[in-house]
Amino acid sequence: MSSAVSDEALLSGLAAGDADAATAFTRRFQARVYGLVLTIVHDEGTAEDVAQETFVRAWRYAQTYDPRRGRVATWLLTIARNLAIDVIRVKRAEPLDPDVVVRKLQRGSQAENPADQELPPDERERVRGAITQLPPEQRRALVLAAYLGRTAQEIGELEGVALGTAKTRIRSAMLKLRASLEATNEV
Amino acid sequence: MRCDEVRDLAPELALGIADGEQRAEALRHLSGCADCRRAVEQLTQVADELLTVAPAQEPPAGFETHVARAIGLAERPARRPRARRLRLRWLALRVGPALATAAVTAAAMVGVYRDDHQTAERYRATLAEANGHSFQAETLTDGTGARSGVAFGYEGSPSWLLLTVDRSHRDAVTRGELRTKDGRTIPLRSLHLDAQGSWGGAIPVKLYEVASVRLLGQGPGDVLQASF
Repeated sequence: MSSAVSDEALLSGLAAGDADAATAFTRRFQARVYGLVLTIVHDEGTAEDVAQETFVRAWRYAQTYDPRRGRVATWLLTIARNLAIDVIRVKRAEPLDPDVVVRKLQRGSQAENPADQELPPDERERVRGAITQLPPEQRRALVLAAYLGRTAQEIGELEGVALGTAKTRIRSAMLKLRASLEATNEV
Repeated sequence: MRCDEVRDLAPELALGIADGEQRAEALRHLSGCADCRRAVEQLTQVADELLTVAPAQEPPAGFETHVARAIGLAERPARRPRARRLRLRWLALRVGPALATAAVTAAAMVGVYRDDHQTAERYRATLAEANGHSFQAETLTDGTGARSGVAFGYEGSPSWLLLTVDRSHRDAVTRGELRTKDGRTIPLRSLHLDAQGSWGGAIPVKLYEVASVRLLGQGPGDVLQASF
């Protein structure tokens, strides 16, 4: 199946039980899904299980996908992220050091293929750069929230700060990233 | 909830980390406030972009085949899946309907499946209620590998097992035992299947020490086994 087939068409094929579409859909997204999950769970065996379950969920709930609310990739990655967070919560794993996640993000990927990514490489680098430029405490709060699913309350406890401070850090980081992305889009 | 309160909460809504009550209040507000909805949507885009910059990495060989099998688009292997995978599917099967319902609601404003987080919280709270650490299910199979029931295990203080044996096998079961990972064999002396083929009880070891539970009959081939 050609890469010209849209993500939405492949997802429709997956929902309909088309084996070729399912294979193409999996091939197109598996590196991103597995990479994200591995970033969160930090264990290859668990990451493989969670990534697999992500595609099962995509197949099962493909009918609920609404293109008006976002791209197929972000819909799928959100499923992956939430499943991965569920797993680390159920396992009561010690929270991964957010700085470890930041370092992984900065390394980028050997498997990254510019042709099959939603954002062009330079834009991904800008996002990564924007994360790096955040003050350390905001960066840690953002990573704990966005990748590790920690609530503001939990972040406050982990970082030894008041709830209000944790909320402010999350908010400041998100607003800075939004401004950074808007500036990128205006260039 | 007022506009300023929703705006304060917007980053947490976008990241899917707002607590359930606040989230519900905010969603009610968003359903009637286009400005706040737009503000949350902008931040949701930021949260989405964050996920796309995680480093891509190819999974192990055979991944797409495993996916195809899991969704019934390829022939299933004769060999039973690894326990880890079964546990995940078991969890998914039981929480799936609740997740689906919650996710459809959540999707209205800030994306699909954000309520997975709450499901995990509920699962953790359930375990915490009885000081448990995990709950899992494993398939009981007979000597041919055919499914013959399910062994549910709970790790806590104490750990316990609940066994359900299919009708076709239950009459043959006369006793049971645990095999531990360090090679011990521990008889399940209180094992007695009821009319529905079920038995449950505390076990004298931690669940994580259990390698398998075996249900035995009179003949040498009458063995049903579930591996943990």
